[in-house]
Amino acid sequence: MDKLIITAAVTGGEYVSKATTPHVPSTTDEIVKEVVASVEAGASIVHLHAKDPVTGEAWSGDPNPLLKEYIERIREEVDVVINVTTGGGRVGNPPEVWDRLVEKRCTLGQEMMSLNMGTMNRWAEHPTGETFLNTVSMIERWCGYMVKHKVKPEHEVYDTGMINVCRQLADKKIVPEPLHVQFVMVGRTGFLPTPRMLQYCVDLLPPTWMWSVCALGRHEIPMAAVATVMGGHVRVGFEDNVFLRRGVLAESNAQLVTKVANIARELERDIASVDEAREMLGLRKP
Amino acid sequence: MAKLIITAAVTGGEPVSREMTPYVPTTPEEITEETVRSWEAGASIVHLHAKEPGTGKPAPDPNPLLKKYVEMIQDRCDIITNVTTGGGRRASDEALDRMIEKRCGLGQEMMSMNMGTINLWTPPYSGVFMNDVPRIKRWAGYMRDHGMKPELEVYDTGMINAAKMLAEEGVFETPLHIQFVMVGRTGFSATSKMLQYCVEELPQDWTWSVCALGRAELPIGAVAMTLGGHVRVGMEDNIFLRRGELLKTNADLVKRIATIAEALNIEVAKPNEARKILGIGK
Repeated sequence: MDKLIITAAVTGGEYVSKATTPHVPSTTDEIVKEVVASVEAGASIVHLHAKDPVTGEAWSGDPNPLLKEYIERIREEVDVVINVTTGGGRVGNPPEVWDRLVEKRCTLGQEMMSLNMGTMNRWAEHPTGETFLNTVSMIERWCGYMVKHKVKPEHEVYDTGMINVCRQLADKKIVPEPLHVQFVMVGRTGFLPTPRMLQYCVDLLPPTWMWSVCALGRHEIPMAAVATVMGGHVRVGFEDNVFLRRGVLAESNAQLVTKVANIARELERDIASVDEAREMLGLRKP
Repeated sequence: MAKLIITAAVTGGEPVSREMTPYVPTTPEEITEETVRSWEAGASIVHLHAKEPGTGKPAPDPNPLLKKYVEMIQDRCDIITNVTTGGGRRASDEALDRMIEKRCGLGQEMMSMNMGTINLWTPPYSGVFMNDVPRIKRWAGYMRDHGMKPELEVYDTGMINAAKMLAEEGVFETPLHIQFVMVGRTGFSATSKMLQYCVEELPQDWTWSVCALGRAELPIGAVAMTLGGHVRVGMEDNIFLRRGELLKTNADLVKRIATIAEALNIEVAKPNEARKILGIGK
């Protein structure tokens, strides 16, 4: 079985702020520190959103300058695969502006970018409203930007229809195979975080593709364990879960990384180094 | 096993017009005739969209036409009428709400309700089929107030979760009736494995039906009835009787699915039996 790639989603993304947990990093220094500690604990990819340095909420303006700053500072401190969100910059801007922000974002020096593979109802309150909008034409354009700028897309899939859309992207040769899919198990309006759902999804993927899973809240660690056994990869971190165990807030993302790394060791699944993760994903060292 | 409820979606819905097949009914008289034939062939529910006479395109003002269909159909047979909540979507949110509320009072017994937002599965693939949760809650309220039995149309697994969540919140009365709409592309793949997954997620006392597009319609219909579910067929989902041969009347597809049921020793429900299964008119 391939070695296990652990992604640390350290910033809390768009749903987690200082109001959710005081431990979420919000300044560049804090984010870099969390990244370094997560890599030391076993993470080989870090997933980044731009954050308001004071509130820890998603940055309401153009995320690109902040993301660029994070990337430069992380590169000075530690070797890790950097995966940048295509989220952010949506509030108050029409979709044409999102296009420009995302194309420009492909050139910040990261190796990977996440790409949401469909439209759905939001599973939690969000400043852009009820709908998580990712039309097929948006997906095709943004995927094109990534391929053009040699950034590897991570295809974020929230329900089964989005697996079909991944296959259509590959069939249309908009993205070269093999694809890397992240199953984002948010419950409510999307995937249920259950082994049965995950098994269904994995069985649909071509055998050469890679996949990872992240599940929200108390499902994060159990679903990571299931994925570890099935030969997939895992994502943990404050973006998906702020608790170390029932009623106990995690004080750092590294604690969550350590937890899944320990499970992998007990299951005798080796953990991928940063360079091994790059090789598995077909990435060049920056 | 309960008797099989066959729904005939006779009008072609929103995507199927005269441009695709000359056999799709477009006038109230044609739609009534297609419904009566489908009822004679074994359908106990008819699912109705409002069509522009002549072209078969979606009618811009659906309610008056739907009312006419319901009245004309009820004059001819005892089939259950199930009216779409689609159509008229160019209206503002508020105007659309009023239109749907009014649509609950046209004399039909059922109404379909789309259970989530999803990218459109038909070209040019840039569109969104928008059904946000607050809207679902508002429309569910109108249906409850008017004694409509909702048919929850589910296009992917998250919408099953949404249905269960809203039932727990009391937005819908249980047991619910689910229609799995297997459109492929941006939604459910039309496979027996997918259907099996979905059915196992439902509470035991809920009822369910399936419709799959194009050539998947009859095979998935056969799977559904062996699993104890119900089936929808008709020009809304499939315009071919068999490969390369256009369907001339919806009744021919109803006959095929009824023949499969008979061969499997599954009895086809009459409208009054379907009402009992669905808890309509209690």
